Amino acid sequence: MSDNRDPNDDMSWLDDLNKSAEGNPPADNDPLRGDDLVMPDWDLFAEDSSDEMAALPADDDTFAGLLDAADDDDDLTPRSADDPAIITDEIPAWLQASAPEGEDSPAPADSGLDFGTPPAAGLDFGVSFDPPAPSPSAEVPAWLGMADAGAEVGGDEDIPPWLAEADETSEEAIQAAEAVAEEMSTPGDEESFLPPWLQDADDLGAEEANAFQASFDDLDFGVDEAPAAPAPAFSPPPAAPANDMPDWMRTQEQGRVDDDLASLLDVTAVPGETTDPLLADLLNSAGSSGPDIDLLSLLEGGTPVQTGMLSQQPGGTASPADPDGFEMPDFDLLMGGGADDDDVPSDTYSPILDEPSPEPDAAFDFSAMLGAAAAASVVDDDEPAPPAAAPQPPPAVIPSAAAAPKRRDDPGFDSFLDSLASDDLIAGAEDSEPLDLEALLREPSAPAAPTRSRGSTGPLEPADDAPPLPEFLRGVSVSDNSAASLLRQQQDVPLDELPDELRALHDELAGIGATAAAASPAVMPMIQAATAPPQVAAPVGLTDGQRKGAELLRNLSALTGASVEGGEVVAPTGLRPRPRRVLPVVARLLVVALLTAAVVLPMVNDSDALRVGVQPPAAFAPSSAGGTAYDFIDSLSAGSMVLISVDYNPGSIAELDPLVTPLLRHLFVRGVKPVIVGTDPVTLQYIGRLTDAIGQGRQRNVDYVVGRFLLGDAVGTQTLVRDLAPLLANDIDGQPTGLDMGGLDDFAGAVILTDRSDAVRTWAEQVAPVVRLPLAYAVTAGAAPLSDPYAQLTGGRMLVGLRDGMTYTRQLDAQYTPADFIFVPLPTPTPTPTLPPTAVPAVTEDAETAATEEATAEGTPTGDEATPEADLTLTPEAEPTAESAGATSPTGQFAVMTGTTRINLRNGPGTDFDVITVVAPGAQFAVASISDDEEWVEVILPEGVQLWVAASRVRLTDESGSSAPDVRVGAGGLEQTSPLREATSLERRWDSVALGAVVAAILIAVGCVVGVFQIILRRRR
Amino acid sequence: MRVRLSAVLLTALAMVFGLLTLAGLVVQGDLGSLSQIVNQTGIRPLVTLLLRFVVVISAVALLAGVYNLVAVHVRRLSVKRGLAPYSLVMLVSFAAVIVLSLRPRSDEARMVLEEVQIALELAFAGLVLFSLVYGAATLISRRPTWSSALFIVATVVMLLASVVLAPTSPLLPVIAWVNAVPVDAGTRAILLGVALATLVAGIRVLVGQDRATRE
Repeated sequence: MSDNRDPNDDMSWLDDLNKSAEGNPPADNDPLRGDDLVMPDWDLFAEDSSDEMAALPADDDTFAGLLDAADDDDDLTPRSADDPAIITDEIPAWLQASAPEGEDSPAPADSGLDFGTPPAAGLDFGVSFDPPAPSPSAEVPAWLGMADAGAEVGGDEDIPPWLAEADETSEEAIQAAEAVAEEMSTPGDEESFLPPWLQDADDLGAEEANAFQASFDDLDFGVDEAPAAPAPAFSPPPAAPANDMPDWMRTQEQGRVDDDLASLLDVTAVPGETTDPLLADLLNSAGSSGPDIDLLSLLEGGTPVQTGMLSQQPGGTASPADPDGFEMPDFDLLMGGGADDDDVPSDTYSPILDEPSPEPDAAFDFSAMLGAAAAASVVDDDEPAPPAAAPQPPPAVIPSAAAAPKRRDDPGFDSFLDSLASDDLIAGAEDSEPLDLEALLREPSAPAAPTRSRGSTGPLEPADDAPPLPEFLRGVSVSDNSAASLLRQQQDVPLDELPDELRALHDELAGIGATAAAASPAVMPMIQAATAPPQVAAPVGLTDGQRKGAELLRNLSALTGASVEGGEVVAPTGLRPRPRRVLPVVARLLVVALLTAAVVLPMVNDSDALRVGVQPPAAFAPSSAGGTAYDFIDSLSAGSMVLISVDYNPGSIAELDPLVTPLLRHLFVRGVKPVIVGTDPVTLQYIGRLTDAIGQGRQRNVDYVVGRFLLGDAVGTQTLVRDLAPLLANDIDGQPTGLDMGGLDDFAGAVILTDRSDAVRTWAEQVAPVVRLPLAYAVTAGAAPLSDPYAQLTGGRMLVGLRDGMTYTRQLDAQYTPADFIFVPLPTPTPTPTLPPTAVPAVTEDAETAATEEATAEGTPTGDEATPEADLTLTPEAEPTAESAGATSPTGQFAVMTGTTRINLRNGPGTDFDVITVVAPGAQFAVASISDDEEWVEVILPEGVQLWVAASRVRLTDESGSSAPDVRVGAGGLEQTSPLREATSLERRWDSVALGAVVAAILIAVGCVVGVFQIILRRRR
Repeated sequence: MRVRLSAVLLTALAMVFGLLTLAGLVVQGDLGSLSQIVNQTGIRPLVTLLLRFVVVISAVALLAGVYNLVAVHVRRLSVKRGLAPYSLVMLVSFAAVIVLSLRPRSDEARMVLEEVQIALELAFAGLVLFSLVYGAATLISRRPTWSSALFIVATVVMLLASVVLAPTSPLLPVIAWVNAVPVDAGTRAILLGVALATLVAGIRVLVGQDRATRE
């Protein structure tokens, strides 16, 4: 077959891909159907189009396998250059370039009409259309050309991953192609696949072939969406010598046999107008008695048409088998009529082909096929035929079968047909499970079309113990890389590499085959041909969705008139693709820029001009939800326990942190023991660390507990209510907490931190009714509206977002002194000698040296570490003895923090002491004293608290820097204020939020005004 | 109609245990003889046991999900060349987090938690701002309806009122009224609908009309 390929041949097989699916819904043995089918990446095709396709050998069987599988349907719906369904503009350039409709492409003369040389892939009874070979000038994607030709690939990036492995088998594919081509290139050879009477047909001249093919142009086999043109007068091709025909075909009334099987096919379309006596004979015999053997289906080797005809039989008819001879195939099955086609109206045209399979997903039921054949053999002639299927538009008239011969004399074929009626065979087939190749196709690692044995490039051969194949079945083969595997982006695998379940399926099929063979040796080849997926040349099948998508693309392409040139889509003149509008892009960028500026500027600029709105109040209103919550926390007695439920995700940390921080400080100040649990594990860990930082000097599982993550959301909360003790037995790190809780009532209250109103609802509806536990809520602003009704049900204690966080902080600062928030055990004041300024060693500013010195300091704590209490000079309760930066220093010196990272301030001169807080570089404090070893410097914070810092991290100076930032300790943590603007970091955050909200409101308003104008302009147009 | 025994069995199990759980959770001590029945028949411990089952099953499901995630990326790593780098990063990150979690108090674990994961999640949350503002700004031109206009007006007013209005602003009572009456009514209506839907869904499961489990 490959020797007949024309490099300029039609490459519209992809178009036919869709046509095939339209006319023949995918059967279950179709390896390309189902959800696993993945359409080719057309973008990849377009992008990778190149001249490398030119290097693709025309007789490459790998490519031929792809083309054959796709082109297989041409045997049923032949196409020509005049076929209106072919729109080459819709096809990628590398496909168009080889289309025969092109100006530089002649005629359908080489479109594949071939007698005597069956294709390398696909069961073809001598009449087929050659899979088109690529044009040398066509632009085929490099990966396809390379993979197909088995050439060395330049790099993996040139090949899709799903094809990269397929390339590995291309050598074998080439060998297979060559072997098949060589075998087929000798018509008349004794080893030829076809009987001589068909080989002779290959001697047709080009003109005759063209004429014959032209007769197919307007054929309508009832395939959906096939051109519904009126059937032209049938022009039979020249007949071959009749002496080479089988006997059963030779015995016709006029003694003339038309060996063109295409004409056999043609009778399905124009039976009424055919002038070929054999065809008339066949047609006339169709309505009479005889087993319903669909010759076309046999030849197609298990296509959906075959399945539909044999297993679904709309007409449900057959004639009893004549024991003495052969009954001609019942073409009524093909036509969709009943057995008595004398009664069949002329418009009962091929419902099978119109609707071959009402259930495209139905499994390929070979047993049903056999059963249908058997049933056909036992139905009595007198049995009335079931009503025919819904009539379809008649392209042809079914002739009367009155004068048809009833028998043929070919004994081989007769015995084969008899075997189909064998009771044993039917019994064996019926006992077997239907072959579910759909499941096989869905197996991701197992392609539905495994290759035949490696190295075997010849035609289909029966098993050793099976009788030889009929002559017409020889030559059936598929390529190693089928179109199915390519389109599914999977690689065919040999049989021995299949998964176990598929191997089991295969074995089961082999058992069926053995049963059938035992019943009738003649049917074995048919079973093999029909059930073995690699030996079935199934047409490409598309799902409905894929077919519709392809149609949509085709229609869109036709509407716009777009074409593909050089691998790029070129819009037609006047219909250029709408350019991307610039305005939305600019607007989007403008929105992003303005919002970013509004949010960032207040954080980095101290100008009051950026402050909009008003700051949150310094205290809650007494009756407000926030005030009630604050009072509730403030009323807790020391030693009591409060349950903290953390029910928010990390995305809400920024909003809730300013609220959680003063809340925890408040609890610690009050001496309350927080027990923290949560339904979000990440946030729970974060809150645990935050609590560690806030509660410096307090111990986990003694002064506070970070409990477990509660699985199951509301269910987790329920377990907290019902099964509290086990949940709190261990903390988040698995350490024992030492808690012995009888229930939630043992807590003094619970605070729910959440960004979801559902969490509030869970606590209000499922927990509050069963416990006497006062509940307070701290929620984000987004969750507040829906949480408010539930909060009102449970006391109305609710804090909302950043605003209440700031108010909480301010009120807490006003109520407590900064020293109250230092929870480390503070030493008793003991005067320590201070060194004179002249004795202070000069500390280098070099960062490296500083780091080294701090490391040294950390490694060699002072001798005071055993009694750290003896070193601090002030208690928190003591009045501040020194001023902060800018004030006088007892030593006359000031310490400026150096370096680039935060600096620890400890409650003693050594790393064994606790870190009380950290300060940023640049902060300046008055120096209270210097340790004896001169490794540590005691500084005085603005509120009078004195802490120690490593001498290596400070620079001592005699002057108070006027621009040094002010640092203070408060409920919100260590806050550093700007000398230019008395705003804490929290206040600056509020300014950022406020300015961002205002800018957002303005942008929204402006956008809406612009939108209104756009609408007005649009309506005016 | 074909009735499968497995479906009947699962539905019956769901109904029985659903009713038991409901009884154990709803019936409290103030319901007289009903409370006595619940207390004396040991339903409450059974409910507690069932809740523990749920928690354990949830934990197992979580582990199964983690296993599946890792398995998918391992498979991708070996098959899908294009996705391999991402899967590799994921697997390495997964292993690193597991290792760091062995020392939960370490600085490395803190860094992964606070400076990687939480920082990224916060960044993603921040990106929502831009999308919301741009979407609201183009809402009128894309969908010019009265409800869109009402949404825009409400959004602008609430944004400005939340940060700009002084405590003494005369608009504050108006804003408070809007929050107290229409907004509160709307939210309560939503919550009422949610509650009714939840109730109906629960009853359907309890009477076997819906299946809480897949067969």
